[in-house]
Parts: sequence; structure tokens; C-alpha cells
Amino acid sequence: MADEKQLLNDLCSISGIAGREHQVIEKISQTVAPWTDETKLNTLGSLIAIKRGAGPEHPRLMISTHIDEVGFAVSSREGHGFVRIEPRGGIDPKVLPGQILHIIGQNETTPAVVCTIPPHLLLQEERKSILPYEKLLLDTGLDEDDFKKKINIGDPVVFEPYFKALGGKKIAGKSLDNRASALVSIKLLEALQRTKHGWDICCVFSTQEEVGAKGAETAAYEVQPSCAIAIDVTFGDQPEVQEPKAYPLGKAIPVGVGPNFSKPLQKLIFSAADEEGIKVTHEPMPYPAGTDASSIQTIKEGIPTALISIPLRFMHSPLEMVDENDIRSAVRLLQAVVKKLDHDHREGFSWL
Amino acid sequence: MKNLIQQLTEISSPSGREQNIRQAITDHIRPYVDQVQVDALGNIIAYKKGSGGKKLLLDAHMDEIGFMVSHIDDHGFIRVEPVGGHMPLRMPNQRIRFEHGAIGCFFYESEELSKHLADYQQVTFDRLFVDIGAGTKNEALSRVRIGESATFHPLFHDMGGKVMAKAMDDRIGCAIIIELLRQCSTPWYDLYLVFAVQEEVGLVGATTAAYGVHPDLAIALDVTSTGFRDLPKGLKRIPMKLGDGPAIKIQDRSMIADARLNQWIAQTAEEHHIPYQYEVLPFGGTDGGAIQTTKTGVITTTLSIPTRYIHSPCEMIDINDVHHTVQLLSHIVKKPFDS
Amino acid sequence: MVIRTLSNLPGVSGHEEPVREYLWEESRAFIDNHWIDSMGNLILLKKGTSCSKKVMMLAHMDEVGLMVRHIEKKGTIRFSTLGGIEPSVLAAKPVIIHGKENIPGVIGMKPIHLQAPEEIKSPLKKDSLYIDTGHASDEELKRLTQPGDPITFDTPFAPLGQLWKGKAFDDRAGCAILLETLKMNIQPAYDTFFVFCVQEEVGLRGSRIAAQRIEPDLAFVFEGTTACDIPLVDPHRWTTQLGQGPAFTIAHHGLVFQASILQSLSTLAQENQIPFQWKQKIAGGNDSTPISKAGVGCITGSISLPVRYIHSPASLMSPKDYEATLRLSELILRKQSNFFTHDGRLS
Repeated sequence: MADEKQLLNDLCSISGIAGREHQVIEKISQTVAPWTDETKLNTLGSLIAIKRGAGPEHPRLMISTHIDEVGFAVSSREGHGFVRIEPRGGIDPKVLPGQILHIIGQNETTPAVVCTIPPHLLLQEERKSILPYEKLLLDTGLDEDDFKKKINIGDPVVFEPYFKALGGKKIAGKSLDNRASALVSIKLLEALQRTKHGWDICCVFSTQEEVGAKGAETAAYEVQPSCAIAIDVTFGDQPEVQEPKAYPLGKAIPVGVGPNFSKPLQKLIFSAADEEGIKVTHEPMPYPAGTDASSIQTIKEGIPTALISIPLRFMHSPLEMVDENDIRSAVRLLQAVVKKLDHDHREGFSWL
Repeated sequence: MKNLIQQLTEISSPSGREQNIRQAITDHIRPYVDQVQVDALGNIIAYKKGSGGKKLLLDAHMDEIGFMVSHIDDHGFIRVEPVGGHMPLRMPNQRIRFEHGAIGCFFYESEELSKHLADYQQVTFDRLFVDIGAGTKNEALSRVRIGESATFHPLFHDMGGKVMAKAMDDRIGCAIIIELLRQCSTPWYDLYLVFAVQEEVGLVGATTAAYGVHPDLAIALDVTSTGFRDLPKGLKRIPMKLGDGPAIKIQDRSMIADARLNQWIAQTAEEHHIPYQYEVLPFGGTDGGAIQTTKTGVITTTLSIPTRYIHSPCEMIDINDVHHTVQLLSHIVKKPFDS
Repeated sequence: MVIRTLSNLPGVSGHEEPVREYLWEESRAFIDNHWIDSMGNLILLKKGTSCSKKVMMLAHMDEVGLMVRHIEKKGTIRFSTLGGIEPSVLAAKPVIIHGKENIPGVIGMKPIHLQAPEEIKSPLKKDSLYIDTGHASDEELKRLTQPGDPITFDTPFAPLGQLWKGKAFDDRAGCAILLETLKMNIQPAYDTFFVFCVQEEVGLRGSRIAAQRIEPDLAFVFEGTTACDIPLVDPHRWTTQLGQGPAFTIAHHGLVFQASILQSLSTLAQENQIPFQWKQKIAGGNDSTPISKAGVGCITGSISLPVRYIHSPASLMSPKDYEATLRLSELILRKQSNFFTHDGRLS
């Protein structure tokens, strides 16, 4: 797991807010190149990595993991080295005061601090309210000349990278949503080197999920798979979020059930897990869950779609947490699914 | 240019009822394009052949926000439903013009003197009515029908450098494309000029038009808001300003614009000394959002015309921004984009 | 009676199989081809005298309901709503959980005597409700049901005064109209696709892929829509009224309907003395929006049966509206060429 952790660390340390993911994509592209037959970029920047199956005719499984992260964009430059930002993706502004952010410029990265008012000077009403974006400024500490050279409107702004292995097989870091799942796809491609499989496996590392799953939507149109599995994070249990709204870390892989998901594919995943002794659990979702799975399902004439989740604590905050056991189990689960598709659905996946 | 803007903004064509504006635009563009088509939903899709063999889609929506007659009571008072994003608070005492010419004004229900102000502050379309001066239901029905469309009453005004009218959103985009066609000889790109329907109710027309064309590149033209740099104590989250040139969209609720395309457009502007600004908008969306996810995806951005008081009868633009946008586009269509 | 059977069948979004099976069995003798797609839409082709145009007639099979979220140790079931349901209509209603077998249950709540004064005054919250199946522990229950299983209201269809009472009129009424129309065995002018679609209530998702497959030139959506013609509400907020005939939508969320289709529909109704009404509010939306936006776009008409207390355990509709809508549906099929001009364009 040492190599895997290093890779995950690398993935999480790269900045890639929605629409500006090319550095993450480049890293993944280099990593998976030796294990794939073809890699290509979709118009919206998603990476499509294909590991071809044996034999002449291949049905195609698409596995989609988004690799964009939530962040901000510089919206205006104020004087004296101060910057205004607007969020890109759903972020709780409560995590921001005192937070260190990185402004990703054309040529270099500028760290900045989110301004706060010292407690001694806070007015009573300011103490009671959260800082709205109107009153949120970043302090770059730069003088006027440097500032104008280094900071441009539209520059991506991300949380300062952090990555650490904690006790109990937990990993804490920035943008584990959804680089932890991307690692699952990468490990799957690596593992497939050692096994023969009939299906084409298309791992899509998708862009712009946090602003409406646009990368997966356009990539699915290009790939046109027989069926698709999205991997994304779900709420991990923490003191204030418990079952049934959250899933314990490191215990079982949640598999989505509900209208967004194909019943036969869902069933196949559950029985594949059963046969290989991998613990899975139902994750009921009454509505399309706002993951890549939502947009893939209704492409063209429809694509049978499933969702596998990695429980994650503190979602969309600068520090998220996953359990490395879940990453491993998810890789094993996908291997089992690939095996079962070959065995039961050699000719292609039927939804009836 | 101002004449064109006046003519286009004075036409009443809310979402789904674009026949009048469609006729006017078609008349203007026909001499300058190779082909004009109208699709099932009523979009105009015009084609002008270029030399480079790649497709560039330029979109402006031709609908405007408006109203639909939903009910007429025994005393001839009319209830309307909003078509597109209206703020009910802005309606009382506004003039409204119906499809077949009737004119009326809005007022709101309020029964208790002590609540008169509170009723106003909490007004919704359920509590707004329109008075066309009819005394009975039959008299009202002789002038207005259930389902009939309506818009703000047009009052174009030329203020010199600035121009004020209803429906600048997005007739200004339509006017820019028309002017571009007048000025531009042979483009490098095969140009697909889309005048889209039903943007204000959910980017309807652009969705199907973009599907039919599936361009290599797309630029939507629309309006954007201005804030603290432009108005006394204006919105602090909005840095855009009238007169600073076209705004290159970075993001809004519908789209993260393509960064490579944006950079190329900014470079083009700089090469030709055309002023421009960037736009990061915390709300709203444009046809660009719908075009971007067409099929396997389209490299898309939006060029916005800074506009004050959007979605009111007093939408105000700076004529220099309009000229600069036409100028910028005339360079864009002549030069291949290389990502 | 078709509407009785369809109303009583369970079929929340994503679990439409019982409705689909019934519709398939009833219609298979009358069609030329059929498809069931990856989401479960049932698409039936009735060939026309000409295949130069494609017409689509669509109703959605799914209904709003609930979904098992969590089975608690003491045997109670926590649920999510599936489709737009106000928690206020849920308290103390009978339901059926469709697990390995059908499990009856009731939605429980705290008795009024034990509620704090502020609880009595405030609207019900979904999280305070649960289903009691009588099972005393989760042991037995976990063998019968699991998270994700669908739950429907237990409201048998029955006449009520001059009206009909039942669940799921939105949109089994539309399904019933289309099934009865299909069984008239009329050969239409153009190839006609009868689509019974899934997942309207969770985001208009089934109709989208059906329209993307068919790419029709003209589409008609048959719906159950809101009627609010009750004394509590001012007439301008009624939307539709029971007994006044099918309602044609002028505009709704995300779409304004073309003037031409409204003209053709109202002329057809008037010429044949079929009563109709205009849907008077923009509130809500239906499958017309994704259908219109699919592919290069198509012209769509929306024809709705007024339903009181829609999205609640017990809705009401009028047999008169049903009869009028059925006659209109038949005429739309018989006179398809009315909707096209002589040179084949949409009029």
C-alpha cells in the first residue's frame, strides 16, 4: 500500500477544480499508459483509458470516476494584494476563515490567507453571522507590481494540499472526493494486467462533476458503453451524521439502489460481491444522486448504470477522510464484476 | 446600430411566441448568409460558408421574458403567470402589452391599510392582477384571451452613449450578430448563426439547435449584470462595468467556460486593442451551458454585454460595448483557434 | 375497468414492472413491434399507412411513493419520499411495502396528547414519521424487506359520489387512456409509437431516452395534472377544474407550447363537441419538456386529466373528463393528418 498511498498523495496534491483539471488528467494519463491499449481526451477534458478485452467482439464497460475538486475562481482583484473569489461547486463558507488557499496562476502558485477579524475587534452581530462572500477577501501579501503580474481574474483557487496517513488505516487529505475513487480505477487497470478478460474496460476520469457531471455526460456519449459503473464518495459516519444517512468507514462498500440504477446490473454487483466474499451494503437513493451516474443513465437511448461508493467523512471541506480498506475492497469488487460480466454476459449486457 | 436595437427591442416576442422577432431577424440576415432554416421549435439557424472547414456556432436568444394570461374575473381584471425569471416586487405599476395590442398595468391585492406595505413586500404573481380598463369579463375577453402572451410595454430611449429599452436581454446579442454579418466578408469558419427560442424558460432552443449543428466551437452572446464598480453601492460580488468592453465568461450557474478558448479570445482582443473584461457571475446561465454538453461536448464560451437592471423594462447598455463586441467577433471568425 | 386495475397496481419510480407487465399483456395483440429499454420504458409501435412521419403518444407508468431507507432494531421502518410528497399528507396513512412479499403497514406518529405545544402548531417533519408493520424486531423484517424497496399508498380504487377515488391517477389515468385508445385498433396515418415511460416523478428521465430513441416529429403527452377547484382557493389559482374536460397546457416549467399545436388541439376538440379547458397556471412540468428538447427538437402537446389531491394517498378524478379525454385521444389518432399541412410540414 506504500506505493498506492504515494500515488494517492500525488493525485490529491495536484489542483484541479472543475474546468481546470488538465494537470490531474496528465498525471493519471502517465500512470495508466503502460496498462492500457488506448488513452484519449474528450472535448471537455475527460480522460478515456481503454483496456481492450480478448477476442474480436467486445461489449464495453465504462467505469467513471470524476477527478475534479470543489474550489473557487478569482472574480476580482482589489487593491493592496487582496482578491475576491466565487465558489465553484458546493462549499460551506464556514470552513473558510483563516484557511490557507492556493491561487493557481499561469506560471506559479500564490498562497493566500482568508481574511479574518481578530476576536477582540469583532462586533456583536459579526460574531453571530457567518462571513458572506461579499465580505470574504483573500490576502496574498503581494505588492502591487507582483500582484498584477501573478494574479488574474478567473485563476483557480484551491484548498492548500494536505495528505496524511492516520491511525486505523484512515487517510486524511484534500480532494479525496473523488481522487480516492480515481485510485480505485487506476488500481483496477493495473490488476487487469494479470487477468484475461473479454470485455473492453473503459475507465473514464471525468471532469466537471462538481458543476453538473458534464464530463461524464459527454464522455459516455463518446464511449457508448453496454453498461456503466460510477464510483464516487458517499457520507461516512461521523458523530453528527449516523446511519441511515451515513455509512461506516472500512466496513462495507455501499452500492446504490433506486431509480437511477439498473436492477440487473445492481444484482450482478451484489452477487459478484457475494461470490468473492466482499462486504457490500444497500445505499438507497430515491432521486438521481448528482453523481456521474445521474447523467450517464439518460445518454442517447439509455445506458444501464450503477453506483459504487467510498464512504468519506467531512465532504467538501479542506480535509476529507477515507479508509484504505474501502479503496482495496472497491478494487476487488470491480475485479469481481469484470469477471462476472465475462462469465455471465459474454455477448453483452442485457437489461431484461 | 441604434436603429436596429430600437427595432428589435420594440418587438414583443416572449419565450415560445417568437414569430414576430423571427420575421424581423430573418429579413435582416437573409442578404448576408447562404442559407436560413427554421427548425421544429422555431430557432433560426443561418449558415454562412467559410474557408477553413470548421464549424463555429454563434448563438443569441431571440425570446424575452414575458407573461401569459391565466384567468379573467367577472369584473374584467386579468391574472397573468410569469414566463421566465421575473421579480414580482418589480411589477406593481408597470405597464404590460398583450400580444393583440391591449395595454394594461399591474397592481396587487391588499385589503388592510395597516398591511399595505407588507402586502407589497411579499407580493407574488398569485396576488398580482392586471387592469386593462375593462368593466366586465366580456369586455376584457374582447381584447385579451386566456393563454395570450404579453411583455413589458416597450419604451426605447437613446441616452447618447447609453441606450435603455426592454428586452436588451437578448436582442442586443441578436443585433450584434446581424451587425457582424453586415461587416464580415468571408469568415474562416463555417458560421452557424443561431437565434434561439425559449432561453428564458430553460435553454430550450439552444439545446436542439446545437444538437443539429454539433459545432467545433461555440460562442453564446448574452447580457450580464454589473455591480459595485458600476452603480452606487452596487452588488459587491459583481465586478463587471458598462463601457469596459465585452465580458468573457469564466463561470456562472450553467457553465464553466472553456479556458483555452477564453485565453485565445483575450489574446485576439489584445492584438487588436479592443477592451474586454472577465465575468465571474454567482448566478444565472446562458445558452452556452446547454451547447457545451451537446453530444460528445463542444468547446464553448459566452461573450456578455454588461447590462444594468436586467429583466426590467429599463435594461441599459453602453453602445461602445456593442461596437467592441462586433469588432472582436469580426476578428474571431477570421482566425482559426488552436487549443 | 382499465383505470381501476391500473390505479391499484403498485409502481413507484424505478419499480414500474407490475404496470408494464399489465400494459404489455393487454396491448400485445394490437401492435406491430415493441421495445423495452434499459430504464424500463415500454415502447409499442402501431404502423401507419405512411412511415414518413413519427408520432409519439406518451404516458408515464410511475407514481409517487416512498422508499425503505432503514430498518430499525425495534422493527420500525424509516423511509424517504420518492417524488414530490408533502409530509403533511403522510401521517396515519396505510401503506404497502413491496419487499420479498407485500407487507402492510401504517405511518405512525406521536399522539397529539404527547406533543409539545410548539409541535402541535408546526407542520409535520418527514424525519418524525416512520412505518409500523407490527413486527416487534428487525429480525423477521430484514428477511422480508431491505433498504431501497418501494412503498405505495394502500388506497383501493372506488367511486366517490360522481367521482372516482384512488391513488396514482397521476399518471395511470394517462396510461388507461392510451391503452384503451390502442385497443380500438385504429390504423393511424403515420407510424405511431405508444410509450409507457418510467421515472417521470424523479426528474422526467424515462421520456428523455424514449424520445432520443424515437426522435418523433410530433408528440402528445397524456397526464394527470393538478386541479385545485376547492372552496379554500381563489378561482385564479385553480389551475384546472374537474368535469370541464381535458386540460391543454399553454406553458409549464421549462417549456412554452407552440401556438400551432394549441390551435390544432382546440379546433379538433371544438369541431367534435369535446369539452376542454386551458391549464391556467405554469406551476409544475411534465415529460413534454425533455421530449421537446430531445435530438433536433419536436412539437409537443400536453393533454391532462384534472386530478384533485394529486401526490397524496387519495386523489379524485371525474369519469366525465376521462370519457372526453378518451374521445379526444381517439380523434388524435384517427386524424393525425390534421396536425400536418398538405406538404407534410407541421401545421
